[in-house]
Amino acid sequence: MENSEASVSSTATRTWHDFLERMRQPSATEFVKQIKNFIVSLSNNAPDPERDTASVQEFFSNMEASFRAHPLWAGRTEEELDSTGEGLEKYIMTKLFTRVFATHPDDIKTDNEFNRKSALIQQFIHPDHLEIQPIYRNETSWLQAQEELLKINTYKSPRDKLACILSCCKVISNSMFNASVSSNENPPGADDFFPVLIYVTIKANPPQFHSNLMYIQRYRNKSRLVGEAAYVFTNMLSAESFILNIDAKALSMNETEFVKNMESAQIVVSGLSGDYNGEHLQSQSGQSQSVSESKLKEVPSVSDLENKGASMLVMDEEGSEKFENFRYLYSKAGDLTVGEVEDLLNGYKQLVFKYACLAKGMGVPVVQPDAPGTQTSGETRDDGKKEGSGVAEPPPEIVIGGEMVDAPENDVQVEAVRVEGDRNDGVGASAHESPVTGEVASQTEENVEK
Amino acid sequence: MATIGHNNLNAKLVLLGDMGAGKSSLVLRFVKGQFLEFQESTIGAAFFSQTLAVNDATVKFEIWDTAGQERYHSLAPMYYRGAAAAIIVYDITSADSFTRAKKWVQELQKQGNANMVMALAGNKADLEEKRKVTAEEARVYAEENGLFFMETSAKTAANVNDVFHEIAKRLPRAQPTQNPAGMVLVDRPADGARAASCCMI
Repeated sequence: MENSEASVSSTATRTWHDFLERMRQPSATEFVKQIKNFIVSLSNNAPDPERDTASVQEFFSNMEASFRAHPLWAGRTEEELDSTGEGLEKYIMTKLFTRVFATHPDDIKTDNEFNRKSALIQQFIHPDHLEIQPIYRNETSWLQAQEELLKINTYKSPRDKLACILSCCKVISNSMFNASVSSNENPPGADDFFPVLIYVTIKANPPQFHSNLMYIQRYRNKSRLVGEAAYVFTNMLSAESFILNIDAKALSMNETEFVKNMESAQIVVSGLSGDYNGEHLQSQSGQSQSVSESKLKEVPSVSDLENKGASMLVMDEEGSEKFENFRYLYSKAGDLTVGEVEDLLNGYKQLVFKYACLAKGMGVPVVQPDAPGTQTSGETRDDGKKEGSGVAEPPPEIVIGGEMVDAPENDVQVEAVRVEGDRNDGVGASAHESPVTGEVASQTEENVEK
Repeated sequence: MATIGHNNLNAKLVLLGDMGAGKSSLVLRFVKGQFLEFQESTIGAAFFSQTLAVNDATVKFEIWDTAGQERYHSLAPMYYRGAAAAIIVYDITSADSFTRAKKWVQELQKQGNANMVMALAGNKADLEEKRKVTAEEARVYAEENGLFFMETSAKTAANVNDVFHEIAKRLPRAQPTQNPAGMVLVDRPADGARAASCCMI
């Protein structure tokens, strides 16, 4: 596994250098001019996925035919020609990336939908829900597969992105194959493989997943999206489609159970404030209006959520104003009246109850605060205020904004990965190829400028 | 195409059928029994590429397995789109799996590629004592619907190669157009190597 991956990336790097080397040959000037003109001409029109796809694919196939007929490639093997074609795809698509990746409103909408749905479902999904057989359950290798899939945002070329999907699938199937051998079963077929792929995809929830898939589908050279790569890619599209359409039946749940799970997940994910689901739960618990207000203050106080919230508050210039509405926050004990103490105690009890429920819902231990109760409630309020002010939504949008606005090659990738960073620290570091892409691409650019 | 030296036909073949009907066992039995180029798959038994010699030509099957659970049914069109052939597998010891197989047939007739070669395979034929679906019933159904039918056993290998060979023989030759998503006609010997390298990225 490791070996094959290493060879994959070294092959890719060799392919890339080989392409650039050939484009520097004086006899390749004509090609360089054509490539440059193509990029300019495409960039002059308003983005249109369908038309852009057709132009790009046509350009790939025309250029490859020209390479084949050119003296520079005379006597070259099919593999060498193939490698030039790969280099061309990578060069063109790296240049067009910011223009064509995740720029269509429909794609962005589906990205957000997928992201939201996976974030909720990953809170409660269990291998049983997808009929994953017990012998094939291997959380360790599933985590590894998730990491492979999450690397998709560290690359810009369609081929490299596709390779992330392939390695994700390989990790899954290797582990399943080993499991089948040790339990004397036939090697796993699609009945076994596909549910695991869905599970891993939900857990990974890669940012801008739909856009990534559309990008591969549109801009991976069609003559190369064949064979096993086509099969694997179809599985990925199919898994995405399943996830986007997940309902109670898809997870063998009854409607009530599914709705309940989604609602609890929603609370965990966004630290729900006064929106529909919150009101709904509120009315069920039959508590008064003042409780509904106090609900704003509660949020899962898991340490990393806390840290995240704290740093966001620090960044927020109006952060201190957020505390002003909490009337007891700056009070001294001597200032409190008997009535207020009762009010505070009620608030405290509700807070502890919510904290315990949320911690349970997130699957983290309920920790006894070592500081006095009032301090705990104060801290929790901080987060609660922040989440209550609608911070839950922005993260995916920040990524999209980053991708679209900040053109600089590698920054974009880091930006995209950062969101998943806490779960997947290795990703940024293992983006071994991206710096090469940026650096050499600019070298070729110089040649193109000539 | 059908007349000159290297006649290589690439054909996508999709496997449909209930979970547990033995789709992947059937394919495994098939590829293991072959002597011609067998491309090691990187994703288990869900995808195989297997070349068969039929008369004066070779057919390179790309075999796509699909998840048979009911909950994944609606995703099947993504898999059978562009397929040149389909094997619809049921288990002769399960009447439900036969009902399911008939659903697949109807769906493919409505939505599949019109030239698709369809085979109905009644698998687990070695389990005669547990039989729930008679061969006669299935044969009549197959005839009425223009499919060919065989009872197979992945366990004893009975009829397994025959199903694939029969499909290979029935595939339309000299397709005038190239269907990018499905059957691709090629006559370049180097194509095998190229396809293999694509799978290795």
